[in-house]
Amino acid sequence: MRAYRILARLWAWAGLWVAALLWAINVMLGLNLSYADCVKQIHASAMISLAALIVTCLAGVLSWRSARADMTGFSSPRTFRFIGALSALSSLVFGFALIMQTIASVVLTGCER
Amino acid sequence: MTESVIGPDTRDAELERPLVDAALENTWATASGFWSALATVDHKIIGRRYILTAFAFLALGGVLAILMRLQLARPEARLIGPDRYNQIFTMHGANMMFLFAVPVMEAMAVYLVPLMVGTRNIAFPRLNAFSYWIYLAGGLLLWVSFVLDMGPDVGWFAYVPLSGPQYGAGKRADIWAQMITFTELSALAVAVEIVVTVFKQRAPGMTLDRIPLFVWSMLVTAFLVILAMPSIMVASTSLILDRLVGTHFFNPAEGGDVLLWQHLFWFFGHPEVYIIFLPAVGMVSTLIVTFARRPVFGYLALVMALIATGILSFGLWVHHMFVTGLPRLGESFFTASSMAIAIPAGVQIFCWIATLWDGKPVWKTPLLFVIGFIFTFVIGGLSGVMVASVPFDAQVHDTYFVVAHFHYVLIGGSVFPLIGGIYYWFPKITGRMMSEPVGHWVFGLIFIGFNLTFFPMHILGLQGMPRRIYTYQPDMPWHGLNLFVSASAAVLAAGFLLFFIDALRSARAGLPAGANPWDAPTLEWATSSPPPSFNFARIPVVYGAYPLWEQREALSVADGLRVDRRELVVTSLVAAEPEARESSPRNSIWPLWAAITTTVMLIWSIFSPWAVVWGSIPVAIALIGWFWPKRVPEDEA
Repeated sequence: MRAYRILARLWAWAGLWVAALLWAINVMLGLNLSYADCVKQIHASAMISLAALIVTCLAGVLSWRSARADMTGFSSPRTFRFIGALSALSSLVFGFALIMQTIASVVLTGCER
Repeated sequence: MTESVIGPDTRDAELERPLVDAALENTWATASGFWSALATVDHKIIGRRYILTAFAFLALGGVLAILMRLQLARPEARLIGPDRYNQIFTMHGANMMFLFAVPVMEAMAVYLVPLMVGTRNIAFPRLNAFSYWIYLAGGLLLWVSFVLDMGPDVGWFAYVPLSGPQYGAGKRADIWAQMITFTELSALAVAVEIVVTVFKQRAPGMTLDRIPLFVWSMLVTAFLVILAMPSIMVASTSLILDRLVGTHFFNPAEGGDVLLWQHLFWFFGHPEVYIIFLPAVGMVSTLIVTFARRPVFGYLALVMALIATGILSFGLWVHHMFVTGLPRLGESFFTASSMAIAIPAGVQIFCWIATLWDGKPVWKTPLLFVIGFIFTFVIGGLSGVMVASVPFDAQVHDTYFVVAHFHYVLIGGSVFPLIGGIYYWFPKITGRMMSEPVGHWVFGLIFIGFNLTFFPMHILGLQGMPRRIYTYQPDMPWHGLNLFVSASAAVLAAGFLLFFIDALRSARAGLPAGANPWDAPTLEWATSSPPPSFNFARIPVVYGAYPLWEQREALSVADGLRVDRRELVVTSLVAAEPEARESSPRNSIWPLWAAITTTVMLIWSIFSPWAVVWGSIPVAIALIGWFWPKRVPEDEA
């Protein structure tokens, strides 16, 4: 199988798995980085959340485009489009959670108890 | 006659339909008799047992709820003492969550998923038998100890240090912890079976975008079980070690951490809510299609919602811990996720309403329960968004507001669809219809009784009534509403009683159902009611998400399977293209022996750590018997 086809298949899933993974990492970091945010008065949580949000959006776009491109050589292109659309839609939900987390980490200093 | 034409390697394609049926029945059927019943690995028989057992536990848990409502109906009641009351609310919660809600959803999947994906048995059928016996043993352990006044009294969450060695004297907390081991072991086993069944045993042509939504929901649920349950098993095992061996996992004086318990428990406990809710989402999506008489609106969006909800459910656990003193910034991340999960939930609600809106709804009992579900779940969801907010949660934490909220979510979100699902699939399981007029009464009593019972609890909570109190003083402003709630609970109980009576009566004397009494579109209705032991004489081939609506004349089928041994078609993960013929295990008594020996070891280990050493020997013997080589090829590509 040609490399670009393998990549296209991976990209089709990216919106789901990349977004979910980044969101999960961000949740764990948010729980723990607040101590550092408070002590050093940096918005590390905000910066990481924003970066995760941007990558999530990119992953969603990638899923959408790769599924549309139909260059996978997959036996069921309809199913492949389904996967791409499913992943892109999922990235929107995780993106929404990341937006809220980014806003929270901008508004709060990490010192609030 | 049958034997004369069935030789080794006889294929179904070589035989006429009556001969195929007879040969398959000979190969797949469970013989009559006591030992055969114990040794069966038929997913339908095991699924029925699971469902019946889970409903028996529902009835027992309901009796406990009635006892609590009798006690709380008036101030300073002396019906139940504080110690027994502690046991009763713990038993009620643990029983409903671990012995009813999760198992009944998995039970429905054990029965339905193989039929809905068009295969002949669940994957790992002996593991399936084992899981039922282990589940039954865990349930009996809990209830026998309750009868013996050894029932757990530490709440269904068993927070340390209350459940630890310092405060939890006797064996009550150990019973809770070991019951967890039983039920989680059982749930994990079923989850693995469902994942493999859905991934590798779907009918040819059932691509990812044609999988029935109930099957999707059970697939996501199975992954939730696999990812969430180890957390509680680690927690309960650590608790037993603290109590029995003297470790200090949860003892701050020796470097342990009390809060670790809450993290471990709720990392499991919040996904647990979705483990109960997501199958109900699948049921609702299935029922609405059949009774709206049209394909579901937004199949893609519904699948996305199931997957996104499942994943997001792992990022909410801290919202159960908002008053433990964690940093507000950390908490806000969990508030964000808790708010975000309302998005896929809202998407689901809109898709269902749109399906009904554009369909021609047939107002049978199952659809009434779906409407009841939408109404109650939206209320529960709204109060969920309220308690996801830290300031509000800090005010109502551990009050009856939270009791009202989670009953709206759990009963509204799961039990309503489940009862609707029972009315819907009862004809498939028994071959007989439940009563439609009685069903309307059941719905009316449960819906009215439920709302009158639980809605006032929001007000009681806002008035400051704490959870888990066994009585209250007459000068508190709660007694009027408590009396009203208790009276309403009687209406709710009457609804469930009528449901049980209807189910028992209909199983014996209901109208014959026929194969597809609802004109439903999914594969479980393509076979007779109840299905034969082999499910399908020939494996269906699918060309759409609603095969029975799309192929009304005759369902396409695949042939080439052997009839003289138990065989399944293994298909590819995404496109469901046939890959191999695989054998399916025959009946075996070893799963029962494995469950008995495991039960002995686990219960013994409540009293002595050496039980793990000596008790593992009979477990190993049972497993050797189970997996003893059969000297036959397992699959043929």
